[in-house]
Amino acid sequence: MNTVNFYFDGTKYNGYRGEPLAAALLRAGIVHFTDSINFQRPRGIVGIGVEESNAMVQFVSGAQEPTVPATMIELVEGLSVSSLAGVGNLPDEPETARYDKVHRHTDVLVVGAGIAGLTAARKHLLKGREVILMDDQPCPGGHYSHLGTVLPASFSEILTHKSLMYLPRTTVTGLYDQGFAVAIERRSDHLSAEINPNFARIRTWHIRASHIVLAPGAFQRPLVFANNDRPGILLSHAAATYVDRYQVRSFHRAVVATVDNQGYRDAVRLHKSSVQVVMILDSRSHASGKSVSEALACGIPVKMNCTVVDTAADTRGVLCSITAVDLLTKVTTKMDADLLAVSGGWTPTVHLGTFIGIKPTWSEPHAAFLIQRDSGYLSTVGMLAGDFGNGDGQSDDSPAIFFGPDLDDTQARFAFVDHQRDATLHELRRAVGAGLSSIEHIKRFTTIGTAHDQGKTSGTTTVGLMSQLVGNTADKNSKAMPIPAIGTLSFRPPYIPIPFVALAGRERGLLIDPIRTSSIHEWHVKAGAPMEDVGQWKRPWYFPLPGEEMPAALLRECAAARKGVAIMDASTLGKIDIQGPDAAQFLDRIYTNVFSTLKVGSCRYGLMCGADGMVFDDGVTTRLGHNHFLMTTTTGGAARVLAWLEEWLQTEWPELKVFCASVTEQIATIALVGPKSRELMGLLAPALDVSKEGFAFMESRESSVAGIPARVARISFSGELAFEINVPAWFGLHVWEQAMKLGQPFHIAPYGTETMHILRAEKGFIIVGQETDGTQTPADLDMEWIVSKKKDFIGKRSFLRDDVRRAGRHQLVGLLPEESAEVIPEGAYLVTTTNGKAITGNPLKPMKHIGYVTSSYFSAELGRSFALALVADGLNRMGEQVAIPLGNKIIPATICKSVFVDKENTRRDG
Amino acid sequence: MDKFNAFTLTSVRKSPLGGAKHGSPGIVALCEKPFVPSFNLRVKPGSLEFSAVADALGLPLPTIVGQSQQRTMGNEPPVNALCLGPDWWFILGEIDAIPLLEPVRAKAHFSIVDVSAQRTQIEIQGPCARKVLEHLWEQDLRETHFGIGSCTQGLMAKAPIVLWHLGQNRYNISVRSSFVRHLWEAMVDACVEYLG
Repeated sequence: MNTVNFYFDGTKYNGYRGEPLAAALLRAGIVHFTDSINFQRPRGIVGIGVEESNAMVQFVSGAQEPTVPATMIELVEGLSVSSLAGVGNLPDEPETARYDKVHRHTDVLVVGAGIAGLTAARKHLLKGREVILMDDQPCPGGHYSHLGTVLPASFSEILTHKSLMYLPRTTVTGLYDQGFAVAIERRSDHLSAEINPNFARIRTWHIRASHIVLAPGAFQRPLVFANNDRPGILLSHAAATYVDRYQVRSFHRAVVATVDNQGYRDAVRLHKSSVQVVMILDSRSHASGKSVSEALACGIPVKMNCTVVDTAADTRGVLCSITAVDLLTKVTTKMDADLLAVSGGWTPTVHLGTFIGIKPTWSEPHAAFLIQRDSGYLSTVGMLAGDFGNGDGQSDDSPAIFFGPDLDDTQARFAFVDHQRDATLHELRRAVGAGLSSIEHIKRFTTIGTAHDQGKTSGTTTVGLMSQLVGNTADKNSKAMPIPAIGTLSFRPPYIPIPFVALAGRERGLLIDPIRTSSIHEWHVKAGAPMEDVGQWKRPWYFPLPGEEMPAALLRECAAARKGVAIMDASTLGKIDIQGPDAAQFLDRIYTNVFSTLKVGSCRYGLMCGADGMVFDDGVTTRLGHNHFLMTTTTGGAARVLAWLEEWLQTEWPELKVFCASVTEQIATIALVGPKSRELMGLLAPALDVSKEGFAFMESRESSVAGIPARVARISFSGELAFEINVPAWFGLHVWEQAMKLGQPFHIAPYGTETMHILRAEKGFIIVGQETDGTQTPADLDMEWIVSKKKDFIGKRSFLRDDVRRAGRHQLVGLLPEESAEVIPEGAYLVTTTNGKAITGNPLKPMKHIGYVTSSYFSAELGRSFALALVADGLNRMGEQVAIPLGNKIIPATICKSVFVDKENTRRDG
Repeated sequence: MDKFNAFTLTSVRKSPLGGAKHGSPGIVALCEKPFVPSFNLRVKPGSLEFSAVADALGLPLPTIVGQSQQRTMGNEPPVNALCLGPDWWFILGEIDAIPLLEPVRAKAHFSIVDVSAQRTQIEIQGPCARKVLEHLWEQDLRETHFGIGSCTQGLMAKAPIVLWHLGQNRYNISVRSSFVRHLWEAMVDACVEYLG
């Protein structure tokens, strides 16, 4: 074995590479490990695995992970940790290690590589199945490895079986229905060499198994007596393993307190490792079996009907003596000891089973909760299933159901049930005394079982003590509660604490969510456009000239669109190809307006509502053929609308012959906007008749544009003369560049989402999701003109609802601030007085709220600011003054119609 | 397309990844296969249209969701039909079926939509290909469940894709063009541990 150096609380020690940090610290004489969280009582190492309730450390080296039990850390050169009193610290440094995730499907997942798990794995491998074997220890064998016993060849052989994937240092932290398990693999902390930064430190496994075998083994229970938390008091199996397997020589005189034969076996191991076992205190009246005979043969004194009731500490706070009590005579005896090895029975690890709703059952012969399953996709084996022997079902443990001796009130204050929470028997008594009889209430009242270990050692002890306490109180009405009636604590994933970063895996930084880009995106980036997030899309926000601020850029872009020519990438619009003999009828039902009358080669703006009659999406749909339409949706609504169409086609109207196909990314869409767009369009598409007479508003034409087969439509979202060019996305950038080149003489200006918003708001065009929040009917948006009276459509019946017809609904209106330079923040509230006069004076005074601003901009065209707002009964409030209180000031504004520019629609034809 | 100059068209078109390549075929390699013609086909199995469409395509359409069929003719590049749903196929490869079907279109109920630019294709291959995919893909990739020729849909790194098992250690990913940069980054990242 290699000797390595490590640091604990800044002091250098050495130990053996790969052994548990806890073993090396105990060997170095660190019995007093840390102090407890509330009472600052000295505490030492108690256990040997994840059940450890005291010895928590924080990594100083490596990933600086907080709150890891010293029993679970493998020693490597240069390891540095500091002891923790309950609370760890998140490092200030950003996480640099790599964490990843793997999804794997398998025939069988075996949880636990002890003898039971290995036996199960072998059985399934022999049946030709693919097996994943996960175990939280560095090496297989479970108890065998604690005992230092060499694994029999029949087991070690299967570890290299081609159909087996054995993952050590891997903890299954969650189990879910249908054979889904989540596990955490610790992959690099045990490697001392320079760690490759490309190697994931922790891997999260998502396993889906046809069958799961739970073989998680068990934890040893402590006993509850006065001052049972002193350094030097260990679980007997842990103590014997540290002394025997890891040659810890820090203990010399031991007392063993036991309720089963495990204590005898551990006493023998201590004895054989030259620890003087002063006495075995056995709470039972008699004991027999191989383990007992062996201890007696070693000459270890045994006292029956006896247990430990109290302990004392030396000046360092470390155990120096114990007080034994005869359970029949109550006579006490003091004994010097620097090690108290406690065996309170075994608690099988029921956690994973309870995660999927299984209620463990109490077994008196085992003095334990068990899960016995062998059906469907789940089976349990080993100690969890009640096999406390070595896979042979033979065990001579015969444990007593005993959790500790009777204690008086003073003793109970120092009898710890949950070490990590510093929760005592006294608190448990108070909880029961207060009338609590549910384990869930007791848990929350006392905090028992709520620490990092989720009551791995304290859970069953609490249930046992509760069973004694309930029905034993002054309240005569309370009934005794047997252990099975109490049940176990509720456990929840994860089984052990896991760093959030391990769950995040690679989905951090830029990989956290997709960034969607159009085929022209690269050009926008090169042009220096800041981007706006629109759902997952990155869209250019505006295109500043060198040194130009945003307001100036917007004025310039808007002016180009209204007076010259401007160009926008509209590729992100959702596009759905709709075909079939019933396509027109289908659209009539989907949209509030009629589409069956639309001529081939024409376009129409449509509004769709949900079944509740509220506006859901909008866009322009073009009839490409008699049975063929191309629908456009809002950028953010594309997937939602396609799902909506499919839902109606598949579940409500399967008789309609209609097929839909998403073509959002198939088509790049470029808008040429402005009075000079016709001239530019003519240059781009010489074969296309772009004249007012030859190409009417809301018509669509097939043509070559910049040499590319394209569809051009006269659609306008600004009120200006505009052409929308649609080409296969491979050619989007080419056509854009050609338009920019040919547009130079016209001083063409590219514009982004902000200018698009201003231009449409000046015309009072809504944006679904900005002017709407799912509670607006078309009438609320002053768009009753688009609602057909002649046909049925989704949402129509909801228009008859009283709430939809009532007066006073919020309606879309325009707003002109009194101060023409003042741009009201979007979302600002509008208030008024009842007589229609705006409020002046103290803005903090409560005022009647009548609506809110949905869109607000400065308009180049109007030379002033303007806004759109949803206002109660707004359409009947034209000319009314309202006020917008903002902090300590009030902005007065006047309600007007929502169309600000070109109310007569004179510009759309150029 | 015949009205247009094929040379001009191919010289100005751009694929979303510009034919990017990454990795090493001996371990795991990624490459974009740009400009693969592809079509979205919807038609009801068992209908008259179904056989008309299959005849025009010249390949039997697989009717089990998740299976694919290939047509090879002489030196022409193969055409593949991937069954994505009970009445839904994704056709990869150049077809001349659309003009052939024009006469029946007026009455028949089917849709064939050119979606060549809607998605681009990423091929992943090499001994570690499946391991890399397991970082990003939740579905079962075992040969017994997803053998060669199988196809399926889902989200890979939150991007909608069609995954198609091309051959031994070889998979094709059809990804929507707007998501492809993100998916490429996620795939390159998933290769890191294997490529060193």
